[in-house]
Formats: sequence, structure tokens, C-alpha cells
Amino acid sequence: MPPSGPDRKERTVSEEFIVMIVEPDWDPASVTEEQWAESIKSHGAFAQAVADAGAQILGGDALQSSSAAVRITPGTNGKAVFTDGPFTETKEVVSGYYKIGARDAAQARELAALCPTTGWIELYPVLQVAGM
Amino acid sequence: MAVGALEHVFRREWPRMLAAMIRYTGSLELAEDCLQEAMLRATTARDRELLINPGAWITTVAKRIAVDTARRDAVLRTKLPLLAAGEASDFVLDDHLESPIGDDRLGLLFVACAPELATETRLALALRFVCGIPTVDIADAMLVSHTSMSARLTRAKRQIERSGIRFAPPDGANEAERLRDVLATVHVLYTVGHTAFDGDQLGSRPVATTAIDLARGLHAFAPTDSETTGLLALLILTDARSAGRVDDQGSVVTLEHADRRLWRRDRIDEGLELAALALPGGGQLALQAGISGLHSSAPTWAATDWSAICSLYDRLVDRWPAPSAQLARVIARSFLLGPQRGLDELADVEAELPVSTTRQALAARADMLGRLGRVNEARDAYIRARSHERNGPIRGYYGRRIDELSASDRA
Repeated sequence: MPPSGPDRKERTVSEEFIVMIVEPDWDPASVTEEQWAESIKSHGAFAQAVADAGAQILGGDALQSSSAAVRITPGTNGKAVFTDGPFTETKEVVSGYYKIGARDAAQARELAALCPTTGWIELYPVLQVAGM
Repeated sequence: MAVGALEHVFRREWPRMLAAMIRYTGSLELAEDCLQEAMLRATTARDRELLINPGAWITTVAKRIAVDTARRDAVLRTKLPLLAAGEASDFVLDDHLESPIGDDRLGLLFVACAPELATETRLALALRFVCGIPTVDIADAMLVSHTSMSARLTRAKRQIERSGIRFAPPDGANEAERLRDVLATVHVLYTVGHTAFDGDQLGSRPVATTAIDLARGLHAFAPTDSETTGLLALLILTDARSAGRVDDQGSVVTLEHADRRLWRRDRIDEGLELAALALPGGGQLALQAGISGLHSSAPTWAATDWSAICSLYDRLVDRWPAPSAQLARVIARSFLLGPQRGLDELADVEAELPVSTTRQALAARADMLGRLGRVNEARDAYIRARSHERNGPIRGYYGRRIDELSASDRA
């Protein structure tokens, strides 16, 4: 019996998106028990909403605070310039992201709006390589 | 608090995490133990990765626990040297450990349906592995003590490990037979989800949905196999009628009194199409799908085509003389030929029915007696049926029938 291809399941997912969570730096020490519980609940609700819509969470990660981040700017003489975080000139940083598969942009917008953030969300369609 | 909030995450991520851990450790027991421990740690952890990618967090912690365990334990160290050296990865194990069909639940189903296991053990293992149901709940559902169920599962896991963990679908000489085993397990899984052995709930929606997903996966995998098509048709057709199965009082609603407007027409159409493809194969699942299809497409209870249903039951019992099939055939024939004939035929098969069908047989007898107007006997039969039934909503229905029959007796 040959293994079947990716068309195994009827897919309602046709486009991929990155849901970027942009919010003030996260300080684990200052988070209360209630806030943590609330976070678990709201991210859980987001995941549930995605699943209920027939869309999919394809991946994602939480990122460390910007004090662990590095900004790299190409230098004039071909040497990169490294600036260690935190980046004090901006209050908000990318604190995490989801990669989701959705039916179309409209559905992705709807779902991304449900993603928890204390700042805002940026939604980027993944650039699909032609012919893939 | 975090335990409750994370519970549905555990449930959702379980198959993926378990499959990853089995591949990583090469051991079913170790995989599960480490996963349990990691999930326990997750309830007190404060790591944001747990919010966004809980599966990855838990799996990473579980892998670390596995390596530590293998280092500490002399037996494991010899058995799993790569793991003890901390060099295990998803790629060091044999290719056959990779599920070639994408869905980890399907891969775990094949692991659970090992040929050396008894049917009941396969079901228990599928409930544990694929649906993530705790061992104690499975034990309760199957009327087995917690310790003996956990011993049974441990034994089963070791048996599987000895003969090789197989995420892959069956192949080779026993292919057809093994696929039958897998189909049977998914069917029972759905049945458990549809109508639980006990408890306040009629069934478990997540288990029923998982079974349908598995049936879809199997169908996509073996689209020309008529029994695989039959299974999917049967589950879809049965599930299309699931809305309104419990009334406001929490009692089950029989097919006769079902509000057919609540049934999913689109699903019924899909199921009928599949059933039509499966029926020429004449297998037992295809025949059951055909029967389910006839019920689903009847506009009213009175319009049910009992003659067609009975002839499908004749073929079913001919092909598959299981007690449940014989009982269902007698019940169907009682609607075609009358309740008295039903009682006579019930008496003929009753002696051979196993204890597992006692309550259905009692309920069938009660119903036939009720239709004959033998009120007292009917009520007694319902009382006996209720004493054998542990599913709350079904008990609720029997209770109402008992009340109704008592009232009509007094009138």
C-alpha cells in the first residue's frame, strides 16, 4: 500500500501568514499569578478559535526580551554594526509570533485580531514562491 | 488554576508530543512517563514559550527528562545508549518510526493496533495514545480496576516494543487483516465517543470527532478499499444525526422521537455517496453504513424503509454473526413484522447473547412489550435494563419510560 501524498486531507488552508505580537517588553518577574492565568487562557482561546475556523497554527515561538536581542546594521565599509539590546528608543518589541495557515487574507485578519497582545499585532502574508 | 487552563492544551497537543517522544526515546513507556512529568512541570512553569508553543515547550522538557532518566537507570542505559549519551534525535531511529501519513494520530493508531494485542487492549491503548484519555478513566469506562488497567497497558506497551513500534500502516502478507483490525478499532472508538459506557454524558464529542478524523485519514490512505470507505460512510451517517440526541432533561432521544430537522443534510449526502461506493463490496462496515443511510434518509420515523433495512441486516448477520448485529436485526425485524414476532425472535437469540449486550436486549424486550401493551412486563423490563445501564442519559430515558408505563398502568 503506497503512502499517500499531502492531499490526504481536504485542506481548507491555502495561505500562510505570520502573526507578529508587538508589545512592551515582557518582564517575567513582575507578572502576577492572575495575569499568567489570563495569558494561558487567552492564548488557549486563540488556538481554539483558529482550530474552530478550520485554520491551523503551523508554528510559533515566544521570543526573549529585547535585552537579549541584537540589532545588526550593514556598515559603510562592508562591516556590520552590532547594537546590543535593549533598544530603548522603541517601547514595543516583537515578543512572539505565530505562523498560521488560513483560507484567505480575510480569515487571517479575523483570526489575528483574536491573538492576545498588550500592544498590537502585525499580520504578514508569507510570500509564496511561484510554482511551489 | 494553571492546571485547568492548560488541560485543553495538553489534550490538543498530546498526539504530536507523544509521537515525537516515542520517536525520540524509542520506548512507549519512557515516552509517556517523561511526557507526564513534563506536563506536570508545565503547570508551575512561567515560560512564555508555553503560551505560544506549548507542545514544543513540553516536548523539549520531556526530552531532557528522558535523557536524565536514561543516564540514571542502568537498564535503560544499556537499552537506549544513544538516549543516555544525550545524542538521540528525531532522526537517529529507524525510518519506519516516522509516520508516513502526516497525521500523528493515525501513526499512533497503528502503534496501538499491534497484531499481538487483544481487541480490547487495542481500544484501551488507542483511547490512551490517540485521544490522550487518562488510564483511570479508561479503566472506569471498561469496568476494570485502575491497577489492572494500568498493568494491562504496561504489558501491552512492552509487547509492542519487543516486536517493534510501527507507526506505519500495515504492509506485506497480513496487510488486509491488519487494516481490518485498525478499522474495527476506529469503529469502537467512535462508538465509545457516540455513547459512553458510563457517566453523565451520553458520549464524548472529542473522541467521536477524533474517530471520524481517523476514518477520513484511513480513507484517504486506502481510497479503493470498500471497508475503509464503509467505515467512513458509517461514521459520517451516524454522526450526522447527533444533534438533539439528548433532551432538555438530559435523557437520550430515541430515533423514533428524533427531531430530524436537526440532522446535518450535507453530511448525510456525503455519507450516502460513500455508502453507495462501499456497498458493492458487501463488507460488514459497508452494510452497516447502508443501514445507517436508510435511517438517515427517511424523512420521518413512519417512513422508515424497514423492509430494505431488514434485508441489509440479513446480509450483515450472514457475513458477521456478532451478537450486537443479531440483536439489531431482531429489533429491525420487529418493526417490519410486529413486536410479537420480535419477542419470539429475541427469545431465540437471547441465550447466545453475551453479558455485554444484556442491557440492550433488556431494553429491546421492554420496548416490544410496551408496543404490545403489556405494560407491567414492559416496566419491569425497563427497570432491569436500567439496573444494567451506567450511561446517565440512557438511564434517564429508561426512567422516563418506567414513569410513563406506571402512569398508564394506573390510568
